[in-house]
Amino acid sequence: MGTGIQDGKAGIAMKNMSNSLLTKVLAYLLMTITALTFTVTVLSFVIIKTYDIDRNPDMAFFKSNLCSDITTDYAMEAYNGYFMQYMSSFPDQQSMEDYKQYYSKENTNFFFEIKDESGKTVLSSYTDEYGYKIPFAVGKDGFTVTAYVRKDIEASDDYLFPYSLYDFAYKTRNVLIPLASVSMVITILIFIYLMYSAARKKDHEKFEPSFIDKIPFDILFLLIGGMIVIAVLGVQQIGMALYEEYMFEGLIMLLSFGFAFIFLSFMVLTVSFAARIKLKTLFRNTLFYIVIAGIFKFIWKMLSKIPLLWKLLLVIGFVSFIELILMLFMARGSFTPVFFWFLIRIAIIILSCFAALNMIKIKKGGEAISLGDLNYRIDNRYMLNDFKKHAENLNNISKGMSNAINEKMKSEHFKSELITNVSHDIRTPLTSIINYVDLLDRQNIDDVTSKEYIDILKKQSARLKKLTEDLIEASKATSGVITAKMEKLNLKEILNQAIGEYSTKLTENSIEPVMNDFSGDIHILADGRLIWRVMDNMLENICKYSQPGTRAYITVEQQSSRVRICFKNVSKYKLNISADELMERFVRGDSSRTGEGSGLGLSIAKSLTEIMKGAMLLEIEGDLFKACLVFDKA
Amino acid sequence: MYNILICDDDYDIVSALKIYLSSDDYKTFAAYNGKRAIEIIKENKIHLVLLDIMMPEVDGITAMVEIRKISNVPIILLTAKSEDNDKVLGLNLGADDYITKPFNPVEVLARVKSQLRRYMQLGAETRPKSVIQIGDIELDDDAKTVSVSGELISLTPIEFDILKLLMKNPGKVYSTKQIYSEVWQDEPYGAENTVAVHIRHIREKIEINPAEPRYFKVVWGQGYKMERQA
Repeated sequence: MGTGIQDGKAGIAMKNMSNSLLTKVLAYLLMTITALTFTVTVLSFVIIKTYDIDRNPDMAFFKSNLCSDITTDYAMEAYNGYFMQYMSSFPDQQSMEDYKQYYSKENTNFFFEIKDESGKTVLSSYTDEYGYKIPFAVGKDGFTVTAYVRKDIEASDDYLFPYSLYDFAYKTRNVLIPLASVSMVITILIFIYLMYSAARKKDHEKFEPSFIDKIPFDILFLLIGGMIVIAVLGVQQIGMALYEEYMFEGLIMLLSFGFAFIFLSFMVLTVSFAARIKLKTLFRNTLFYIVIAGIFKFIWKMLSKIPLLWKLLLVIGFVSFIELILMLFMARGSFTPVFFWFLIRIAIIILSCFAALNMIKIKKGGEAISLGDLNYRIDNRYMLNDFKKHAENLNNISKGMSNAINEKMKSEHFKSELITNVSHDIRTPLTSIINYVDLLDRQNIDDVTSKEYIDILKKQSARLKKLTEDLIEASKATSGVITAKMEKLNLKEILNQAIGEYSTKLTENSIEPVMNDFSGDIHILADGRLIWRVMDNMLENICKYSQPGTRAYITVEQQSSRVRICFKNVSKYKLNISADELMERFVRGDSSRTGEGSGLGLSIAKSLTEIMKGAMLLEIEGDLFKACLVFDKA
Repeated sequence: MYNILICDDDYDIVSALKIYLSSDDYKTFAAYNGKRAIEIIKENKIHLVLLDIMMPEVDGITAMVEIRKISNVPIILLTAKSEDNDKVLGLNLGADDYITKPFNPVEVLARVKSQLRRYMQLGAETRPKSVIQIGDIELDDDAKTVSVSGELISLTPIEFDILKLLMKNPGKVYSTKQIYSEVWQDEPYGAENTVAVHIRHIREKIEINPAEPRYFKVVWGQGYKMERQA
């Protein structure tokens, strides 16, 4: 049993945690990383396969387009430099040294030989220890350049970074497939989680839209789509420039961030799409739908505002106009058919107008009856047969209803009158009883037993007095004699006043009232005197039935248009009784019925609350008694 | 020694009231219907009338209208009708107070005393400026004393200040917030609820029946006020 409850709690905690915003953001970030890993590993794998890196690791880089691009650029540069230096008329010794230094072994992995048109080597930085020959020739002026790349790339030039990447790819070739699989599995799992948690919020049972899901979907789509397109174009442009400069570190950063950005944007869109499907707002929450629905609503509103008769004439007029034009075309100058058509049309219009007028009369009658005017009778003297029958039925309904209501009112009134009269008749003898018991009490009676009997008489006559008062109040509250004068009342003031009124009584019963902290600006619509009667009964109840030494909680919660006031206390008696039963007249928490109280308090409070268009709800949980009043905000 | 006329068709109630009033040194006259009551008033010097409404022959309301034609003696209605309409009707037709049955004998005595004091002493003395009087409540700002029906009652300084504030402007409704800032001279941060408790205590001291106050009234959801005249 106990563990079951704990499991349930843990489950709820898990659920709450898994739906919190922080978890979701972390999931997005982790997913971006795993997706990036997956993409990179797959790309690396493709590159390895394309360039045979795994089978021929030494040659792979040197065979790649990238290597030959870099070499071409270097060769062109070297060749142009050579021309600048050797062909100029005044060779400058210093810059010659610089040129040579630039192509030294320490500074570059690139080496070359330049031959003139006759095939004679004019400049060479090539030595035997150098590696691969990249065939390259410049045809300009018959000169040729032969380029070489050193086998062990060590000097820091454009070759170094891509070469080390190739090297890295080769070294990691065995982990690529496992890494790709793991990252793919994690990506898919996180994707499933995001799909599941879409539209779910912490502490919410039902699906709730996030702020992104509230943006119309077409707008969101265009927004994120636009962002993705701009990002793709930007990455492409900047990437090309970086590639041309062989800034590979920058390029990798750019591609990673570009990928992350595009991927995240796409995921946000996808998750929102899933959330909308769950919320069933995919089509409803689009700008297109909103605009179209608005236009239709407007047209509908316009149409419904035009009186029935005009609507009818408008439709008939429109149809007749089109028919007339068609007739004129068809008749070709012969006017007899047009004349007959005209006569028939007029007859139709007169008949329709008559029917519409009947309809309007019936509609008016229906509206009057639905608003509660049961004495309204529809005049059906000049009506077409079917309308006449309908009007008569409506008249009969209102007649029947008004009869039924009158009967009900009469019986309620009679009941209330009876209770009031009987109570009055009880009051006069009761006055005598109370007074003479009091007089008896003032006599100097020494007999202990007599004293005890007098005390019982006193207590019971006081109870009888309270009972008759409550009985009158209850019968008045339920019979509709009381009407509420609704006004704007400050809730904090009322509760402070009510608790203040009961301060002495609460202290006497050692009950500590605790009010939650709420705004002093909450106003409710109620009748000041009636609401005091309600509070009076609630607090009376607390004083009478609370376990002494406990606290009574009075809490105020605001809902959208209503306010909920709850009174919570710990019952003195065992409450093995349902909340519904407790609300019934004469039912009391102590089944032995020995204490004071008539058992009418809650029933009176409920009736009075309902007169003020409020509601009263009771809840019982073990010994915890909770009564809530709900009122409209003012 | 005041003469009090008790008029009720229930013999037992009349004799019970006779016992209570006699023990407080009032002289009592008894009538068991409205007609007899009018005759007694015509024949004797009566200082106060306790009048039941529902009686045979001439009912209480009719009798009261007749009495008002010849005398402005204070009339307290004894009634089993507790509906507001009946109270308002009774007060409008010339009653000075009402007591609903079944009544508490102590309350009857307190109200009788209060009415007699007002009737016999109204306008008799000129009072110093520092004294504010509403009904039979007198507040002396110089002596810092409050008396009800001539009897001094003890109030705490806070209670005295609250009562003074409300008595200075009878008829005006003060919210608990206003009362707090006026009396405590401080911003009421959530301390307003203490005001309601003080006010309840004041009412228990100055009102005959604190649940149905005549002077110090609760305006529900708005605040508190002192009636101009009870």
